[in-house]
Amino acid sequence: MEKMKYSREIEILNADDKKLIELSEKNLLSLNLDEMKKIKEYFSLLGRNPTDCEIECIAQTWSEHCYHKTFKAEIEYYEDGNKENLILLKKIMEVTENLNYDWCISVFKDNAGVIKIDDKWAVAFKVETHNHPSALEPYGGAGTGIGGVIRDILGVGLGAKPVLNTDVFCFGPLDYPYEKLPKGILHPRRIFRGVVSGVRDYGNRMGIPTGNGAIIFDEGYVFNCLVYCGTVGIMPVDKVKKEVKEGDYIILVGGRTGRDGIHGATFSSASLKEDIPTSVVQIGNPIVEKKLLDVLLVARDLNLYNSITDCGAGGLSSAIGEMGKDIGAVVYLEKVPLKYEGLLPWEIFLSESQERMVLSVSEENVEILISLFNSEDVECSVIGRFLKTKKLKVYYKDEIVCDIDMDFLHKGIPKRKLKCFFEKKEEKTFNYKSENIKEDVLRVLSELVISSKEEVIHQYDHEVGGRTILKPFCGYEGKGVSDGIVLKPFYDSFKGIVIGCGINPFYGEIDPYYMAGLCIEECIRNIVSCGGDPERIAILDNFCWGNINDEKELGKLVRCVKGCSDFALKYKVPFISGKDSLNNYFRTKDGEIISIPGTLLISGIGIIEDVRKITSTDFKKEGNIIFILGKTFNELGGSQFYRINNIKEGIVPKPRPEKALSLMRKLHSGIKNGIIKSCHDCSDGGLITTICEMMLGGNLGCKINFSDVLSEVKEIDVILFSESSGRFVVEIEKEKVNEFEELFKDEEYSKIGEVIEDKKIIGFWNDKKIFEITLYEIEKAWRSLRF
Amino acid sequence: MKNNVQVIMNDFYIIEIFKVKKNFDVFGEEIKKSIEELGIKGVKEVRVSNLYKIEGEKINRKICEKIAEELFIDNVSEDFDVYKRKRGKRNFFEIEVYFKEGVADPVGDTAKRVIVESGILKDVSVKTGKKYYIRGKLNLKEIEEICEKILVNNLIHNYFIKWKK
Repeated sequence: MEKMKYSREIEILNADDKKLIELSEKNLLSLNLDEMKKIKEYFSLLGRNPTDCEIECIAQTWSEHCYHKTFKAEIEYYEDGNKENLILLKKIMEVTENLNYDWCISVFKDNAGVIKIDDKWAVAFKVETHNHPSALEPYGGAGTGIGGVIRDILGVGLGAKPVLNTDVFCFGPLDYPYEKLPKGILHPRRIFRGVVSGVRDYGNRMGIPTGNGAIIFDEGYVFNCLVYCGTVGIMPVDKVKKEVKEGDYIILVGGRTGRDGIHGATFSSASLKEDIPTSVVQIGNPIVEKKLLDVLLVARDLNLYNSITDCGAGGLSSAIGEMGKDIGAVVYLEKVPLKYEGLLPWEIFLSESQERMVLSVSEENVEILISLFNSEDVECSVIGRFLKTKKLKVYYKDEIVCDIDMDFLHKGIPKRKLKCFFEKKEEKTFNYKSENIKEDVLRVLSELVISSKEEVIHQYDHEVGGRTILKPFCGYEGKGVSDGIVLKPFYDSFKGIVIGCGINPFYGEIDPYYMAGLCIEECIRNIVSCGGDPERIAILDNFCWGNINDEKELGKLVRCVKGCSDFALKYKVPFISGKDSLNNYFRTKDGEIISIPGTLLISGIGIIEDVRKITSTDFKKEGNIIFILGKTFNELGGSQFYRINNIKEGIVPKPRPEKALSLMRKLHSGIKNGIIKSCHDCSDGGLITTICEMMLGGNLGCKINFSDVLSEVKEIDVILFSESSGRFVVEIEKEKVNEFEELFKDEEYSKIGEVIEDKKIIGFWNDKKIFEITLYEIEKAWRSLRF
Repeated sequence: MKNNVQVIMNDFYIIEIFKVKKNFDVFGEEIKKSIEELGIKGVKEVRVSNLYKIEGEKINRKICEKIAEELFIDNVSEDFDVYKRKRGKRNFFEIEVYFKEGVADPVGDTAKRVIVESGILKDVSVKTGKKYYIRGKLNLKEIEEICEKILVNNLIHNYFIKWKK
């Protein structure tokens, strides 16, 4: 082989096993021995050593981030001595296949999941994680997280218009002692501030409202924070399909390429250590992306390109490799516009510089497209062509720096075989009595997870675009909390989209199976209580897990996936997209491994026929009757009430799909027909938190007789704080009570009180007054948190 | 002309933009709060200003003043200062934070574009930074701790501390 000027030969043909592993570790490839051996085998057939560009390209394509090795692996799973073989991704996709809805038009194959709104319009939804970058540089990391998921939506089908961002964060406690933090780990408070301002700045500057979200605080997230960013986009139904045609030109549009974010894809598959290279940090530039967004949608409507994808993790290597999978591609790297000189070919090919997208354009459209992009001040350059070679061939000036078969790149990866087991923890009822109910209620309300997040939410623009109908805050002075967010995306129709989410890692510590079911249910409940149709909901799964090389941790993940699959089928909601972020663990200097609590985020999207027929959570008028739908069980395990009292035992709530589903269908028809004045779902913090939140929104008080609540045990603690699933609190006008009772006659419900003008909650037990809390006290506790 | 080596000495100026005294400095106040949370007491005042390091061939003080006045400041609430080197303020610790080489600087890029597009200069390089003024009974060790824990991320930033006894 002649001497190469721009790339380096990597000695692999004569390397033994030890050398191979060394090579993988030294170059941050994150490949294991099997995979390195496979690469060696391939190149010994070719009779040459790979170049640095080739090996980096393979490592990126085979990374956990891009290929989802664990989710595609064959797993041998043991539970209570029973063996089961399964593939996680298959298990999740099965649900959608079995339900087989015709309104799911693009699932699991594109950048995002797409469902139909009507015959003309579709809506795309995607949620991503951006954990590692946010832990290192919170502002830049979170900003580029949002930027990345917006580009995912731009790159779904032929491009959708982003209309809403969502964000869910998990942090360590804000008062974590500084002394306990190892070197290189930022304090949770700093990460928190950086992440919030990163999301705020990117979303606001792009002119996209940030609506739905949640924030969780727990000690488990001190070393690895979690940052989930999602985007919803709308697109015409006929723009969902895309196809690269042979002979198309490869055009790179948007920002310039620099050295930023190299190794992001492989790095995100590794654990955080105490020494980190500078190059993994990315900093976003929302103005460039905004210009790109505007011009792309014009080009889409003129049908100027055949296919599109975003440059995310893995950069050009991933984008072009993916697009040219079935055809083959030739790329000329010297044509890529650079931020500064001096980049090596492999760095250009792998760089994860932000705000770039790759288009595939037919010959006759190239000139028009370039002039269109230039007229809008967006950089645009032809960098190669899709040719029927079945190979990925990359040139830098006159040198071939990469020449691999597409088939090897995408199918050559050896299947992983994994083994894991799960041990069930026995659940026991735990008897704990509250000594002072009033004080405990106020403590639960001021708990980090429940208390007001307005300081964060008010930083986001949730109105821009004028599409937001139900906002994150509702009611009197915007003090009430909404369950979800409702958008009216079109000017000429009253159709709406509703977004909700469900997350609760605290249940997962006891049993991940039920955690999955509960997250799914919480998400559906949120959507239905805003007025969404329970039969038109699609969900997305996002797993963030700890060290899955540990068989126990992997076992928990498998159990969680099984829960997802079983319960989604029972609730009849299809998964349309998902993402996993594994190996969220920190290795200390002594080699101790600290994993995060296994966390599942379920985000849901529903369709509303008429946005004029929705409800909010705030109490509307004094004299209205309050009902609770559903039955309360003695399930305090993992609840906020036990958390504030440091109890880690107890029975975790169980999802009851059949009952909940029939209840939700009726609730939906009740909301649609205007019987229900306000509706709030019971989740974190139990019944009492739900009622307090409704009072805050309405600036009204209420009288509640807690002994009337339909419950498994007649104990005040259980009724107030149990987080049993399938429950809603609703407010009904006096004249409509008969109509309501007629509608719900086969369901479990109980009449518990009425709304009063006096601004306080008066709790009764068998007509005996047990406590009284004024609205002022509630508000003070709920808003006590300062970030 | 093979042996004719051309040496271009690029000149530079720093434009500092700060809130006028009577205006409440929000960012400064937030940092003051963070320092108190860190457990360091004795901070009396924190003020933050933005730095733009302008570098190019045909730069002089007048041009920089024009750039600052026409492009960078909000005339109502902000004022500016143009200098090459500045004497330290009495009683204040001064901390300058810049991005490391190779880290993207979107604000700097945008500022550069604005200067070029408005026709003031043909070519120029702009780097942005922040300057923090901290007044209070503090020692150098505490200032370093404040830098490391609040103001600077060592992964992407370089910083310099100046103080006058």
